[in-house]
Amino acid sequence: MADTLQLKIVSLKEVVYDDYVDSVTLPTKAGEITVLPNHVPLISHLSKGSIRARCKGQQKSFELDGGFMEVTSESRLTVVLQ
Amino acid sequence: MATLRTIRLRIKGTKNIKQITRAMEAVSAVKMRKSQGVALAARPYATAALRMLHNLTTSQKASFSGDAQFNLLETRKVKTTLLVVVTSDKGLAGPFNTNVLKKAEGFIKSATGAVTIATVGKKATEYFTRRSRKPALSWTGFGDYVEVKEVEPLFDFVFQAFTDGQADEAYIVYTNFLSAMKQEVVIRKLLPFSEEGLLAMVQGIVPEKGRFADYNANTAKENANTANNEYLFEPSPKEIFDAILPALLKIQIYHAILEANASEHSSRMIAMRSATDNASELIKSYTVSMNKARQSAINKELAEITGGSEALAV
Repeated sequence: MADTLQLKIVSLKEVVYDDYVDSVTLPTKAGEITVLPNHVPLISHLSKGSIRARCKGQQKSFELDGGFMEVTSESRLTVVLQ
Repeated sequence: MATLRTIRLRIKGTKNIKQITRAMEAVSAVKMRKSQGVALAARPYATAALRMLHNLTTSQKASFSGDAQFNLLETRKVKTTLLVVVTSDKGLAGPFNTNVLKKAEGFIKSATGAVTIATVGKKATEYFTRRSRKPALSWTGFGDYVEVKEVEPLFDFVFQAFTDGQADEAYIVYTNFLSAMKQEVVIRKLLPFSEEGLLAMVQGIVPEKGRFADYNANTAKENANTANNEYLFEPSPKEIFDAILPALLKIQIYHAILEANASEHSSRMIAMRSATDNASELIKSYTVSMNKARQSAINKELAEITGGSEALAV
């Protein structure tokens, strides 16, 4: 069982972020969700807002206009920005 | 035989041309490298989006083609085909534009039913307008490094044409960048979507040789073992499908233009290099004939002088 989550945020221009974090909060079309390690596989449509990633007490935040996210069974979270 | 003066003028002119072509070669080389980098930067995005789509289809057991629920996947009887032709705005790029137009012409001839044309770049627009086949949409003046936003009008046009039923299929013809020396004109199906088409496009992003060539091996590893997951979908599979397909279409068009851009620059670079080489050779042969002309003038003068002095001595 993984105890961290691999977060990867990609845009058309670059890989914005690629590292291991403890939890991620994202704005989906159906409301804000927080993804922890070992989340069930999920694909969701993101709306405008900010992604907040927490890693060892520190918080990082990324603005987005929309996009998609995918959580795989290996605790890998990929966000594609629009 | 040309006079000394005209040959000298010719050498001077050729030298000037050589200087210009050499500068153009250098500029194109830089631009090529940069646009290649831009094209590649979008690759992780494309693979991620594609993988999502793949997972979506497999876990939904939705047949990828011919599912009427998702209208971008719908295969219809083909009455009208939309063809997007990607060329450059500027010339002097060797056979770059001619090759694309030739391929497009071949496609139009072999197509069943009517073909609507949308053009990118001045050269294609001029070509089709001259042949009284005015393009339905012509889009010129995009910069060297296109922004995604700039592609929007073209994307909207293709999307609208397909969903309104004005076109039953959409293709794009552009030049794929394989390496600095090798480009290939390809025709790719944009709509209706097919997974094979998307995969071919994504894999085609990586050049055969050079700095970025080992990219495919790395991403293949990363994408392994992601299939066969049971996925949750929020809000619903259909909504995600409806949102992700247009996004993929946009990427595809964007990418085709980036690839064409890199190809244009490398094609121009090669054309300019051979122009520079030709200029050097011309200068060499001009110099030889200049020397000959000069020598024969000297000989003539010498003969005249000796002839004159002999006449005086008598």
